[in-house]
Amino acid sequence: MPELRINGLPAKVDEGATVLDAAELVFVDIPTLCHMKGCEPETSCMLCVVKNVATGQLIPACSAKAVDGMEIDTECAEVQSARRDILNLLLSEHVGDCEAPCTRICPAHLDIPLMLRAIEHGNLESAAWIAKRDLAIPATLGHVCPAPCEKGCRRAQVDEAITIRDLHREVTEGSTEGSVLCFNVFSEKHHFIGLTPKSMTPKSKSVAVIGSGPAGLSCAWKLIQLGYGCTVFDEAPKAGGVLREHNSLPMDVLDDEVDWLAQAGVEFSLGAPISMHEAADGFDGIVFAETEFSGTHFADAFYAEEHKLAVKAVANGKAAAVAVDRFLKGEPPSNKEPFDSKTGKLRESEVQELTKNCATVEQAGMPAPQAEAARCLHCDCRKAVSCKLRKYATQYGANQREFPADERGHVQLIGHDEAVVFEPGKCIKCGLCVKITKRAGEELGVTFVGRGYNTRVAVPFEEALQDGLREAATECVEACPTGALAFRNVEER
Amino acid sequence: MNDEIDILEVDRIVESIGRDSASVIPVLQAMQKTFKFLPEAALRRVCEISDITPAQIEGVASFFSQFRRSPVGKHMISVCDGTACHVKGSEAVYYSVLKDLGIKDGDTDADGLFTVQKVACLGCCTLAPAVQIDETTYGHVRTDTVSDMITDFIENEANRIPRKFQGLEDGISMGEVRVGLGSCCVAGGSAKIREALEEELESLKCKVDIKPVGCVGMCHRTPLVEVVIPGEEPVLYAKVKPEDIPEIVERHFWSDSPFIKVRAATERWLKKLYTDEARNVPDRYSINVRDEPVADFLSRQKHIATEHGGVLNPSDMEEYKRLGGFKAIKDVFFKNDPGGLISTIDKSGLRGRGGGGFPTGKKWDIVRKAPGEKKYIVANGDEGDPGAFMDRMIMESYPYRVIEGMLIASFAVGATEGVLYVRAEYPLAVKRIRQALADMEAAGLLGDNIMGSGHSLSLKIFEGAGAFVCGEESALIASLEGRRGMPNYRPPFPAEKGLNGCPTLVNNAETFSVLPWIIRNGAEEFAKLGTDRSKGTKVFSLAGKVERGGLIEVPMGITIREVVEQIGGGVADGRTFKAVQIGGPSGGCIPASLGDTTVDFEALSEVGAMMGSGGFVVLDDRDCMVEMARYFLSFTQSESCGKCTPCRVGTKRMLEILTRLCKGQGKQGDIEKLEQLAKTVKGQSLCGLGKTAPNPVLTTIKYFREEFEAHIEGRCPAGKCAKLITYSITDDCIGCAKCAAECPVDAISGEPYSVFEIDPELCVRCDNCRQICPVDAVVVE
Repeated sequence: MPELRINGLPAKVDEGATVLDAAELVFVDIPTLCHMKGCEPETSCMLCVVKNVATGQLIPACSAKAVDGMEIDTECAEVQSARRDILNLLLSEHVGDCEAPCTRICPAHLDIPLMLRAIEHGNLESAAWIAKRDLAIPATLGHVCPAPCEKGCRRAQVDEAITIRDLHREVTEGSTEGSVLCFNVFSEKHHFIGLTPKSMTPKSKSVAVIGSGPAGLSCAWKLIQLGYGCTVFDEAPKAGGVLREHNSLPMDVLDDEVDWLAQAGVEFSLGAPISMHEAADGFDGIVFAETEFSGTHFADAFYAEEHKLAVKAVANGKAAAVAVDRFLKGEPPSNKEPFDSKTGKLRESEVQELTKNCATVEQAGMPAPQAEAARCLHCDCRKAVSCKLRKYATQYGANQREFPADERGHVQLIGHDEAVVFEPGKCIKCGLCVKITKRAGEELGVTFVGRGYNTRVAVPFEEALQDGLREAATECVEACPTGALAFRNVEER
Repeated sequence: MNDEIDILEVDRIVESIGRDSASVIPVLQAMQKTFKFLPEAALRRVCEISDITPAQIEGVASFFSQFRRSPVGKHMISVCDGTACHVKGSEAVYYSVLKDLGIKDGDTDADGLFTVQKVACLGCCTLAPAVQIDETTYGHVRTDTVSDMITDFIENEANRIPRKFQGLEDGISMGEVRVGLGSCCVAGGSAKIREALEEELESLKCKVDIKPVGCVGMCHRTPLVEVVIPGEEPVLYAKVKPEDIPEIVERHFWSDSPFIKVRAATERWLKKLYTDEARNVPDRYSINVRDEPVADFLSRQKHIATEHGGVLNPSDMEEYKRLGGFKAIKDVFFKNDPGGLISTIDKSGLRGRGGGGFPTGKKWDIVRKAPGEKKYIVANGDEGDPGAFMDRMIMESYPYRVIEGMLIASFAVGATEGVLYVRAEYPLAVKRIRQALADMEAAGLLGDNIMGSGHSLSLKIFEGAGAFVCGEESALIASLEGRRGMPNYRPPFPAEKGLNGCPTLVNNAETFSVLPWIIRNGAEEFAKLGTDRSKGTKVFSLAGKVERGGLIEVPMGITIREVVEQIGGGVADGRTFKAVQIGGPSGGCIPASLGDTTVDFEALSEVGAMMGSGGFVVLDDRDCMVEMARYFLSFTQSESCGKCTPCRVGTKRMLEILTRLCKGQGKQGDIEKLEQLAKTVKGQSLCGLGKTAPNPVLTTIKYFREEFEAHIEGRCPAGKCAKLITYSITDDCIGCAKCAAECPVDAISGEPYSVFEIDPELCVRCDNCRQICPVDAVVVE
């Protein structure tokens, strides 16, 4: 039985085991994309490289056999930079957006495509919850936001941008009393937005938020979502701060949303001068949601700027809540945003390709909001959460522009109107689906076609995707390390 | 086009080749031969009646460049894009062919008569630029002769029926005429020479033996004809044309019947008179081995792999035997045991000739000691270096020697089954090897219990299907097993776990071909040659801008300069020696300033190149090193199997930068980015192809960095990169109008005897004008 050292940790493995097996044994994490347990190693992605200290060579952990006396370094700078280079190369040919441009542009990162798809399918309740979760005051914003999201909407290349702002207003306005968003019926079924009664049960800690403008409200709501108790202080008699000065905003909309937040668990202390001592003593953390941070407050205080762009203020409030959360958990502050692959402006033909995602036929007969939402091109990734490429790109700080391609590949979707959709531009040629379909005894299966840079995965004889994946579709989708193979209508978020 | 095919034909093919999944490549090759492309209906039929699956057949058919999925024209025009052809302008030739046939889209002309393709290398480097139309090879093709070439093909070759030589049985032979029948000689027209000879001798009723011989090595002077008359000094004629044959025959041979002689002579005299044919006397082609250039070409060489070159009839087993053939296997079988044999090879210092230079004895030892009932032996003749043709020459000219080498090795390692993997572009090698296998089987030199030794070996041929990466042993084995030629991570090495999971010895064809010599002459004799760590000789294909190109075999340790200047006769056309490219796409460009570098494994690696398979392409001052780097990278990039990320994507990104540089669109930081990418590709690629692909780029940057910088500034110092240069005519012009006549796009105009002008808008930078100008009045800026 070979004995080797992984980052100095001794590991004893069976004959024939790989370096990756050995690393697993001592809980050392090595990133892989093309590897799958139970399959012969493909050794194609080369992300799993580790350093063989004796030879100084970089070797793929998934295939290199563990040899007695071997000394492996999985974390040195050389390995890190080699992995980043691999990721940068893969990303240089990656065609697709992790997030849709609308979401990226929205300062508060409202998950717009997800909300739109919920509306399209008639799940107005889900849509409303999504808007609430991300925007805290979606109906209010529906009146005051300049809707930067709509500037990024790719649908505008076909005809007109989707009226995102109107939609998130419509699904949430007047929804407090007896509506689907009433907390009386808040239950386990709200898992879909990552919120459950359990997760929202206040922990022992609570936070004071000074200021009840959009930043303050959003911060408070995010804290509630994170499981904190939260009190919003304001000298004004009514919550809303600068929003109260908005001419085009019907104040009952704002009132309703403040009420809703109160129902959700936010405490309000309004109409009285704020005692700093009270705030400091009674709470575990304090956030100043103001237009300017005086700096005279407390050393441990957090700050959420009340921006004149309300949605930006909402974003600031959320960010402050996350920062408080990390602080209270004793975690260091993080500014690591998830990696975002960006396609940039789409070509005419590509927009046409994405238009096939839209159910144009049904659109006609749908009620207004549904028909509008159904116009969404679904240009966001179907596997933005589970994608391993994105995960490692985030982890290793990859840069998609490090090795820029002269010309990016085409946005292409295979399997229109089928349960599984294949996007060749997102494929990293790991070969897992090829192996899985072969193992499953698929009559057609999928195979590599072509050679070199132009290699692609396809069903033999250009047959339909579903005919290649009759037996092993689920397994292939689950094994696919990127968004290349995905179920058309399964949401990960 | 509808795939209306004869399904029975498919059934017959599968029936004759095999139904197992490993038969997929031979089945596809046979179908392509039958249908000229691979109709989908045929592929589907194969899947119905065999173990071959749709995924497998689609994957394999689309991997190898030999296979075509769409119908082709009646004739196939293959424009060679090997290194030697490339530096001599094959790109321009390719576009001229397309233009001449009026092909704008796709690759086939409107009448469906011709399909044009670029091929990696035809292995006729000394005839560069070379073009093959069906079976006929045209050498030294220029843009302005493309049209004539196609016309010639249509008029003379397209409907040609090979003539059968009756032969003269009676009488005593007056001598022997040796005709070189290596591919270079054949491409140079030796088949026609042979026909002309046969015709002439028949008409004169001369009894003279015509003897086909393998490569003489002097490929720069093909076709070669040697007249050997007992008791006389042999006379060698170079660059012979069919019309020279009567004169040559008349000079050396005469008919017994004076009447015939006179008649023939008179007829020819009359013909000359009436056709006003100004004939060149063949004297000017006559060369004597003692002539200085020939002596230089041959004197520094040492023939081991190419022993008896130019004497031996490649397909005459008896002659091979007379000249010492198969003596080595007798020694091996009856005076040796495998262990002793391996230590002999170890002592000889022989290292693999395929490129890596792994000690041969050590590899054998691994295979021998690897557990396993069944062991295989593979001769790697999938020569892919686009500037090399030694494996082809060796297999064409010395097929028995390669097989004898395999017998020796198989005895040492205990292999009983084997394959000769021959590149598909080498039909002549396939034919000769096949003949040799049949001869040896018939003679009991292959098969069970050979010569009563108890050792058995059965061999077969496998034709490669066009993938450079299959030179890599694990990819080669993948293709033998009927899979896409994609390498695996090693270890396990094929020596332990190879073909069908069994220990497999993979050696280069050249490595096998030196074994009989080592056995016959002793390990010590071999080890006396060469340097400390690189023993023996190495065969190179010397080509490019050199006076005398050809196949050479030199002792290791010879310097680059000696090869270029003494053997090669220096750089051609009075240009300046700039660099040599050694090792092809895996090797590097070594500048003239390092000309004293010795040719051995270590010294070449130290300067950033590698021995590789043995391409040796000489470059002169008109060759742009950035363009060379781009050329080699475009080769490896297109040959990358696409499996591992660094090679698949990294080489593409590198190529994009190099292409931009050559177009004058380079930018600051490009060189550094290239170096960064090169490091990743070199360090992290899965197999040798990727690991060595950046070498041509890294060496050119290392030795010619200023040329890269000049390209970023929008200059091409060598005046090669079309987008960076303009052609103009100086006042030195004498108005001879030669340039205007040469110009393929009518970009040159002027009155006779005045200074001509070039229209830069029309000019395609083919360089024809500069080459033709008698007073060097065409300048490039």
